[in-house]
Amino acid sequence: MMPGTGNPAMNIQARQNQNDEILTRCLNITQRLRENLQVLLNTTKQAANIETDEQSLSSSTTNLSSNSVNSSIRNNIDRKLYDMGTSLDQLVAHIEQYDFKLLQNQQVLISHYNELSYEKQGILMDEWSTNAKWADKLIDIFPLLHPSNQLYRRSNQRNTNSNIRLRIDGPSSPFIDRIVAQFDTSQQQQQQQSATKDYSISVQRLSDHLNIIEFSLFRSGLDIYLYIRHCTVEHVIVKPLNEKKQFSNNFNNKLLTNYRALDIIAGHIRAAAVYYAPFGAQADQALGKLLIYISKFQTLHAQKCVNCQKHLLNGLQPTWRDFKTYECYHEECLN
Amino acid sequence: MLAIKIILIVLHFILYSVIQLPSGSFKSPAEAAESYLEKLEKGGAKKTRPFQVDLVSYSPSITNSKTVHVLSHSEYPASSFAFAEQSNSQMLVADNTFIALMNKLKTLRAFETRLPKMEARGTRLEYQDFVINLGTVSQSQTTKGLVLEVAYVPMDETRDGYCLIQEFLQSFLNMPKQMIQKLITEQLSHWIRSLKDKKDAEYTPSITLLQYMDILIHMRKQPNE
Repeated sequence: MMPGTGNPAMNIQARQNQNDEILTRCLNITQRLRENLQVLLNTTKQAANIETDEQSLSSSTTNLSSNSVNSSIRNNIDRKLYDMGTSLDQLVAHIEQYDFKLLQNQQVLISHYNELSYEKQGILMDEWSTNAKWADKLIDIFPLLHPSNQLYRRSNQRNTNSNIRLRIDGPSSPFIDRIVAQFDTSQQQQQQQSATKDYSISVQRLSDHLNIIEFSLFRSGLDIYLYIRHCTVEHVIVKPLNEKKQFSNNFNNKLLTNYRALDIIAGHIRAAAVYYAPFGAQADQALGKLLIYISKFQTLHAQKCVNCQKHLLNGLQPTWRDFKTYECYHEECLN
Repeated sequence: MLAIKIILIVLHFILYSVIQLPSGSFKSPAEAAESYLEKLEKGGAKKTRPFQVDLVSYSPSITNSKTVHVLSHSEYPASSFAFAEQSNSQMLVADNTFIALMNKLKTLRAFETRLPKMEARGTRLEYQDFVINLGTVSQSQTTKGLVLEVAYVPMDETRDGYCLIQEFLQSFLNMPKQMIQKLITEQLSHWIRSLKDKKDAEYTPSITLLQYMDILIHMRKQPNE
């Protein structure tokens, strides 16, 4: 709406008043939109709860009662969505009426606009994410949608709720300790007859979310380092045990090994880590299976290849262990 | 008739055995060495650098003392290994200035080198994680035989390592298992026998040098061809 002609000072004042009025209306509509969105999220959460209850209790009586509840919820959602659509249309119409040309004459407003920019203040985005209630509601609904991803949800929730940007604080250390203890117990049960333990396993904690599992196999003379972020194996290094004995003061476990067989074994363990941890699999099960897989390399120097019945082929031992049966093969014998 | 001995030593962390080839196989030790080197290279082993093992024996001037054998190996350039006769397989590992000390004692007439110096010189090869040293043993310009040393480097456990080396020799040089087991030296068989009672069968470089010493002393006693 363009202003008419007349006294320029009065004209500017009228245009300003009109803009203020439009802004007030816009704010009211925004408030209404927020309220509607809040109700909509609550209703969606309610619907999700009902759905999980239905999965756990699938009887005929509950079906009848839940059908009526479902239809009312659906109607409620539809109504709110319609209201929100109308409000948005109104908001767009008001913004179109706003006299933006008036702002060009007002340097004060422009500088205020700049102050609101993310680059200058820096906390605007944090403030926004903290105040947005719907983000919290989404986090509440998240476990119902993905019940397996507990760890990510917890760490992420803590991160979103805080006003300051925290580093990702994964509670993976006790989790890994538990897996290692479980593995240790199961191995001890299997090796009750033998007096001496032919392996050792220890966890080195670099940070809350980064751990190194050191797995030493005494019979085969292997020292395996698993670099684990949260519960994902990021890197594997296999070294000979005698290197650790010789260079105990100056031993660098971050360097790759020079030995061909050990390098190949590291590659196979990386492949096993990927195989046992497909998308959606339980993290503890995957890591437990990987530890069992690694323990099968205890017979590296003793067991013969299932296919060729030889121990050495091209100067290398059977370095491949089957992911399911743990049978050993040379790389060349796999095809 | 030429008798050539192939001496198989597992250095670094395992063991060795001695095998006598049919005497009519090769005309000279140099030819035999060339033939084995060719065989190893055809199998995929790659030459890396030369290797050398020396044995100097210091006989006592006083009758009550024992003969001291001092060995040095190019794999351990900072060390020298000394062994006094009848000392129950105990080897002294010292730094390489020990030879200078023995030479000083020689000038003081405590010891004298009546016995000739033995040398094993040859080529160091690598194949996957195995290290192979093939050399010719000579005693004052006279060639005595061949030495072949095989090591599986990333391991110091003797029980499994011995089987691994045996299989490597069988496949790489077509040597029958019985032949390898039959011709094992006294030092090696003693070490393997002693493993039955031990929990920790860790291999140390002194065991290798003891085997070298056995072989070189045995070769010294042999008459020249």
